[in-house]
Amino acid sequence: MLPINLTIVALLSFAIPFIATLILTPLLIKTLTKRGGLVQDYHKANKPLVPKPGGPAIIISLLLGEAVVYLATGSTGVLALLLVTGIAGAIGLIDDIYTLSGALKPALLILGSLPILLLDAYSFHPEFPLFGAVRLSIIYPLILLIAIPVTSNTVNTIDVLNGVVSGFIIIISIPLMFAMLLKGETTIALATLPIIASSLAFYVFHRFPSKIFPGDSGSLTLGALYGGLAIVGGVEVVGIVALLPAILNSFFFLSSVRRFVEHRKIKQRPTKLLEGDRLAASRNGSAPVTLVRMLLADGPLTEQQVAREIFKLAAFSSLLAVITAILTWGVPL
Amino acid sequence: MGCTALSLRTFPLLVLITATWLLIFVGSYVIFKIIVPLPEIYPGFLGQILTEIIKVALSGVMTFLWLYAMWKLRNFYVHRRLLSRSEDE
Repeated sequence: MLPINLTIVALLSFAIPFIATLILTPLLIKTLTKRGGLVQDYHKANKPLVPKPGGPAIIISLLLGEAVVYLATGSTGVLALLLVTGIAGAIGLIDDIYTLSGALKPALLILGSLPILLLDAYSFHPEFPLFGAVRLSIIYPLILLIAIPVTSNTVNTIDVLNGVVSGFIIIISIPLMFAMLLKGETTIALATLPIIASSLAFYVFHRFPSKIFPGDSGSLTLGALYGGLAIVGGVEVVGIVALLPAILNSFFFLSSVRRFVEHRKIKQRPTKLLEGDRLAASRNGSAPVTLVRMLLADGPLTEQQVAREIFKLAAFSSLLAVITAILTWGVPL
Repeated sequence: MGCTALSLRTFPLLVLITATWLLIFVGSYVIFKIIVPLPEIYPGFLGQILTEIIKVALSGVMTFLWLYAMWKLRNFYVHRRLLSRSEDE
């Protein structure tokens, strides 16, 4: 049972980002629509125009939520997470405005790893299931530098269909929080609530048919904070396992295009749109391999059906992540 | 019927995720419990350096094998399920 003050912090760190996203997103939809910040939704026959980016609503709400946890706990780890969110959000916004190259984006996101490194908000003893902690005093800081670019880009690559990235983050953040509670990292577990709250509120507008897209500012920020939470909370392996569908998606994509490239520059599309707004896999051997293309291998599906299949995969990897947490820190009593 | 077809569609990817999960366990166990504790080949500074180089090389080989296994699984899946069918299917 949480002490009363922690219970209040938990409630506030969930409620504030949730309400902030619910208020800011419709405002953003109005503003972007008025100013022409619209993009086509390519997975629908009539190609409706959808406001983009919704990232600023996500970034502000996450900063508010993490600020609540920081003010209540004074934790250096949470301060690092606040900075990670701010830096990744700023890079995402620059990317939304100027479209950074496929190589520059991950390079800039290394800046997002620095707060964790400089504030010493990590342990170089990652814990593994069955055989426990290992000491990685030299190599861990190097891995940490690329961790935030990797998680943010990995989550960014799953932002392909209506509602997928926000729904995916909600599902995979739950085992992360479970693992932290199992490990006794209550403060960082509290810092996980804003990402769940903000994604949940954004999902209301992002689900099929999307009223707004998060853009790179939204998806990169969510991915960077997710990675930061896994590192600062010391639940790296659990974080990796829950993220496996998105990791496989990145692996499929990179191993088929064989370079870091902005997805807009890929000529061969992995999927095509059929009548009735159904999606089909491209049978072209040179088209990039993606998770969506693989899900469509057995025949066409609607966008909603594909999203549901991705959520099933996320739920399955989250279950494996929970098993990993139990194998690492024991069975909760 | 439709629901079963959808479940079957996800099944190979669930297998791929499970295989990746198990490979993470096996790979990390081999690296941290077998390679890292390897004793020095011979005593002295040079022996220590050589042992560390061998450990890094073996860990690198393990990582390569992990990626290779993932690559083979991906190719198996892509060729069996994606490219073996015609556009009309």
